[in-house]
Amino acid sequence: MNQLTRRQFLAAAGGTGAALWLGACGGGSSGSSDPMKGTLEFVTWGGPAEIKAFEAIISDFEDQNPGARIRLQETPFNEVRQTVDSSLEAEQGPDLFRVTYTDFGFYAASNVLIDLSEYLPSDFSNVFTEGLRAAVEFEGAPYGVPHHTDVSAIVYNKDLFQAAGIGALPDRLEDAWSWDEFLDVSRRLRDAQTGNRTAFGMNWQLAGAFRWLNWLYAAGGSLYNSDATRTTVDSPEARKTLDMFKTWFEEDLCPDNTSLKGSYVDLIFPAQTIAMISAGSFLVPTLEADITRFEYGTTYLPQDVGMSTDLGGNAVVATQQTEKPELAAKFLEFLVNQKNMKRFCEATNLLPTRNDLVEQKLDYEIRPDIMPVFVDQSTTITPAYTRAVTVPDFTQVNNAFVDQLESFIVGDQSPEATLGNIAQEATDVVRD
Amino acid sequence: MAVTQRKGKPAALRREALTAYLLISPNLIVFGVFMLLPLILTFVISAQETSGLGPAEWVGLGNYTELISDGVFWRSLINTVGYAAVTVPLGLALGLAVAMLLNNAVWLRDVMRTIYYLPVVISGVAAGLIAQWMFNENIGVVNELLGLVGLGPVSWQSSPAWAMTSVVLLTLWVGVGFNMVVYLAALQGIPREYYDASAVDGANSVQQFRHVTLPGLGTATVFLAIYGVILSFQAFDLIYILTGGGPGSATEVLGTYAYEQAFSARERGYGSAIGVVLYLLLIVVLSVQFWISRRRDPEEG
Repeated sequence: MNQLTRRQFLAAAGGTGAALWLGACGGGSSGSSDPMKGTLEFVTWGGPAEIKAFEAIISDFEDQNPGARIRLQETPFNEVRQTVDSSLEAEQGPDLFRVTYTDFGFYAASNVLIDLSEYLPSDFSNVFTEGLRAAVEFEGAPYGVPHHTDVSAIVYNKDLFQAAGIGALPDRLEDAWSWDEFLDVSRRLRDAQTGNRTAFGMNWQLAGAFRWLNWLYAAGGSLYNSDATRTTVDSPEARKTLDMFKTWFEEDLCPDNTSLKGSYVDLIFPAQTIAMISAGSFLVPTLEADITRFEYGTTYLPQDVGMSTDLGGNAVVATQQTEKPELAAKFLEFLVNQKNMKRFCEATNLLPTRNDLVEQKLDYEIRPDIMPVFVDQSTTITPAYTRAVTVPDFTQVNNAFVDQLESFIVGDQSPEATLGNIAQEATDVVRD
Repeated sequence: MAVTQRKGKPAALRREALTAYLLISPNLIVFGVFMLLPLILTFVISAQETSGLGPAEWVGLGNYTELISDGVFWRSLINTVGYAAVTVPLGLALGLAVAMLLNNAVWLRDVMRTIYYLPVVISGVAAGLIAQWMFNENIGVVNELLGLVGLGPVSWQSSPAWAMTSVVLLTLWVGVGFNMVVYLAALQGIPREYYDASAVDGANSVQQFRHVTLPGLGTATVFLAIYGVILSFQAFDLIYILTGGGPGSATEVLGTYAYEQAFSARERGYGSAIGVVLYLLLIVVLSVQFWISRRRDPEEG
């Protein structure tokens, strides 16, 4: 009996210890019973400028809402999905988290997000531009706020362009290079350079794989039909796009190590081994800090039968696992009010999503001179592109892009097989 | 219940048994919660189709039948076996060579031992990140140095064979220190008299190595080989950080492919099925290895 008691004691002690420990691991809201008081956990990633901007806005929110606290949990971009997914699976999810538009659909369809229309005025989302309002809607209801957007344009090394004798670059959207002009410029850059240098780097590594669509849509192709119910990717336009990609690598216009599983081009660009890259404006603060030895400028993505750029940027969402949904909704509303969205974008080189800010010229703190190119380029985002990249489970399609385009560029997979396999995954996703 | 079965035994023995159970209970609890339970759950999830969030669908052996026609899975399997077949023997040879060098009174011996052991205590992620910069074929220091002596540039990232070479080199760099330490201990355990006696019999240093040193290192070698195989089958962090499995699937191993499927593609069931295959494969390989080492040296088993 004595022995059993000791055993029971040990089991109880172990159990209590484990419970305490697991409890300590958990996130989630806590605090008083007042729905507008307590602590919210907000999971995000971001560069130093973005984190600083978030902290400033959080500090103002806490000042205006005594008893409310927002705890910012910073996670590297490459790990944020796993962090959020596994904590949600364990019912220990954060109250708020930042999410890319391309990943939003998964969470909305998984029924883990809060329908904000239950907590905010019914017309609150009318302030956002139509395309981005649609990007955070699921079955007609708003499940997040479009915090900002961001698009790709060309960032180029002025010194290397000068050395290749390329002076005038397109400075109006309608004058953007044609694909042939782009190839011509790239070849001249390649020929003018010495050593291990190349002309161009594409920002399509891993989660950015979907940016190949910038070229597909410019060529007049598409991933899905207009209501995203059927894939249209296997097309002559797509084959033309793949031909273009093959040319980059076969003619040594792109570094071999910048395929879809290769190196991020913005990390290589500061070392002056690539003359130009496709890059989002969110990278400007980092590039500005890393580039010390040369001048750089921006121009537009090349145009073909049309123009296109990617729907970058992020939304912020609240989860159903929060104990303070009212407070979470209130913070989201605060985060995207005119003043806060403006200051966040100005500090981080991102583009606003509010109609009243899109019309305005923002005072960017870093390199305001190169931002108009990104702002103009953002007008080439199309509703069809937005719908295509926000289908639920787009992540799986994006993974197919990584695998299939990598096999096409690095391996010897034919364009037919590549597009066939992408079409298969794109079909599976909308059929499910 | 175990207590009642041992009714006949003296109280002292019972107390001893209980003490033993108490002493191993923390280990058992941790093992049960963090090893056994996840292992069982992996088997369960491998029979499901699930993204982790939302409902799971039972698919029986569906994930396993899908594996059979998955080219990347077979490529990963071959890569895993090949990676183990190359890194384990090379790691052993290199570890032994360094240990024999540093077993002698060489200049700055302790400093050299520390330098060789240092990579073992660096986290795999940090080592992978360092290597990622070193082997970057545009801006990496390795190509820079090769260029100074008129070699290269080597396509460490874009050529499948060179990418695998970079993975092997990194693995050896990280692993050689551990093998060295084990071999150093084993070398110091070989009685000096054996060498003296063989010298009296006229053995040269090659014969001494063959007939005295190598047999004396048997146990250490078996241990390092088994441990090395386990580590190389479980390889993940170094490869995931250094190459991400690329270019194409050239450096994809079962560990990285399981992770990509389970977490990047959110195919938890499919990723778990790959994990189960890896687990079963490791059991088979280790069983064979144990069987061989017992036959070779029965009294050591």
